[in-house]
Amino acid sequence: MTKTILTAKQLCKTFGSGHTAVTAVNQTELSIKPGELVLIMGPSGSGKTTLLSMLGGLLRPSSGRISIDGTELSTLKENALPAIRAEKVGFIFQAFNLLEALSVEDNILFPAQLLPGGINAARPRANELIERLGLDKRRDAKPATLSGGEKQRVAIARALINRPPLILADEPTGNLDSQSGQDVMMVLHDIARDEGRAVILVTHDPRVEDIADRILWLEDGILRDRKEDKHNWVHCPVCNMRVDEWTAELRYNYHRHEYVFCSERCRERFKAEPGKYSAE
Amino acid sequence: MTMIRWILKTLWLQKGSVLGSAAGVAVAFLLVIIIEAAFVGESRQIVAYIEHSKADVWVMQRGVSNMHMATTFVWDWKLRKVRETPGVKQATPILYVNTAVKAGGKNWFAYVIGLMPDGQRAGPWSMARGKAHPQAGEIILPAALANMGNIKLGDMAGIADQQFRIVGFSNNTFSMANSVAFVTFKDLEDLISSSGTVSFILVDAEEGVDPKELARRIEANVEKVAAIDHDRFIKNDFQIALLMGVEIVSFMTIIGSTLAALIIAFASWSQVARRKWELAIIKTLGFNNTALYMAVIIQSLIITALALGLALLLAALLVPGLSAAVPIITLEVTSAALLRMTGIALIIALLAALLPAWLVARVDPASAFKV
Repeated sequence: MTKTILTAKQLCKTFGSGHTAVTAVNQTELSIKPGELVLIMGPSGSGKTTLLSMLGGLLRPSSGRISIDGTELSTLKENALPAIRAEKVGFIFQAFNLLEALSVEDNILFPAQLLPGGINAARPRANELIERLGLDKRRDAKPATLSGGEKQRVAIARALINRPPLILADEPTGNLDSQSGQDVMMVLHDIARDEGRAVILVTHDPRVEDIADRILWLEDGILRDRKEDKHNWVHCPVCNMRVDEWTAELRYNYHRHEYVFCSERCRERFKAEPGKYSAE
Repeated sequence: MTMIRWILKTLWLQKGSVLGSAAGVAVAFLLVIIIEAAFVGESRQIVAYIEHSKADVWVMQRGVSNMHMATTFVWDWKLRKVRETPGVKQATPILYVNTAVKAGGKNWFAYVIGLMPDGQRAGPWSMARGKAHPQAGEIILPAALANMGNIKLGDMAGIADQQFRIVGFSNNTFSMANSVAFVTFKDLEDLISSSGTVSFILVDAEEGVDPKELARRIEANVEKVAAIDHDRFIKNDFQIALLMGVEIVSFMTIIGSTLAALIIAFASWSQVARRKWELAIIKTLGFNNTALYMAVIIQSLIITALALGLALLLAALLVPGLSAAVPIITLEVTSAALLRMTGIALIIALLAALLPAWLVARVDPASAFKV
């Protein structure tokens, strides 16, 4: 039986009471396995952030149960939740939420002080993430000097430093240009696939739908599987992300066939090993 | 470590406002330090005469236990009995009265000491200029009065209805509460219409004799006198000085400390309020309230330590300057006072952290999702 990282059962959250009561999340069921990337989409005010807050142990549900990596959150006392967040959940925010006084490296290492071994034990992991996310030259830079894409990559590294089994990302591409957004999505995709982490991604960005294993639709507090939409999209030959062939700017001709790419990174990968990714 | 680095770097980002707050707190601390220094300085001056006369035992009328503001009469025939007490090397009588001395057009409150012609050891211990021992109709005043009142040698000074010619200026005998003036025993006797009495007898013990034991012997040998050893006598006068000023100093310390606590609390509160979003992020990352309370306390301690350091630096610069510029005030900063100020600062830092800690507890980690 495959292990489940996150299980939510009969999850409800109601704000207020009586006539003014608003049900933000209603009877939600959710189960995510390691390596799965799940998109949660829905209109503004549909309860996406409320759901994410509950799944991350930031908000108590009105009823229902949440289990992260075998730990039942509802049985825990309030003061036990921070430790669960530190060990089991990595958060990625739309506004990056870096600590502006600290350098890139210090931001990444910041949550590591909560785990046994502390910062020293986490330093090799930080170096690995810095290298993997292309932040090596920006190690000592302050967040204010980083581009949006770099900030989000720092936030991703910070979310991963404690090797949490669950990553919760709230509109991670919301403040990024399309290129940086695609880069960030690829990183999240790789993390789920390579490190076996469960990634829940709340987004409005339709470009990222194809890298998701599942797409859920939250509306009026109710979570449903979203029906497949039919569009005239082509797929990036490297990551399989959906790309609009008419508007795509990143193109490459190989053996009289034009390929379009979601990101510069994918195009470079393709160029390096065209035989691996081409249709031939 | 990274948490402390975060606090330090965050404070550094706000260095202007942090320094402003620290400067405000430093002024409050400085106020407390200077008020206490003035109090200690004045208290020391109150006992300056006793301290410098270096008598091993003080003999006075029974029931009297100090010099400041005291009145004491001892029959002069008891002087002989004191001198006959085994262990007494020398006994010097003085006549003493607390009164106003008018010099340079102003009244100065003073201990007026009447010296016997042979009573050199009870006179001024350091002279700025002029004679160290007065003759009939002469007076020796503190040198500080000469500077403040533009008084010169040869000028006249009045006590009650009598005039004295100023013949000397002594060092370290001035204080706001009690300067020390010296006249002849006979002149002071005439002034207070007294005869056949002395106020105090300053006793020197023979070598190897314990002053406490000698005091006991004198009390046993001479009826209706109190004999008190030097250390005890100083302590008694110091206690009187404390009683006179302790309320004012305590009151000013409370005002200064409250002011400092409010400034630190406001500074910490502003820091927390400004960083509310970052605190929410930190909570989201898994830090609990206890860790954040510690952060707030450390922040408060840093501002307080900065303020204390600044206050001490200012005190080190200002106190000597103030003493020189305003000789009427005797300032003395003691290590005990600085230690007490440090303790007060520590308490202030902890109290000032309460309000921001309350704010920290109310920060909702879910607010980190807000853009």
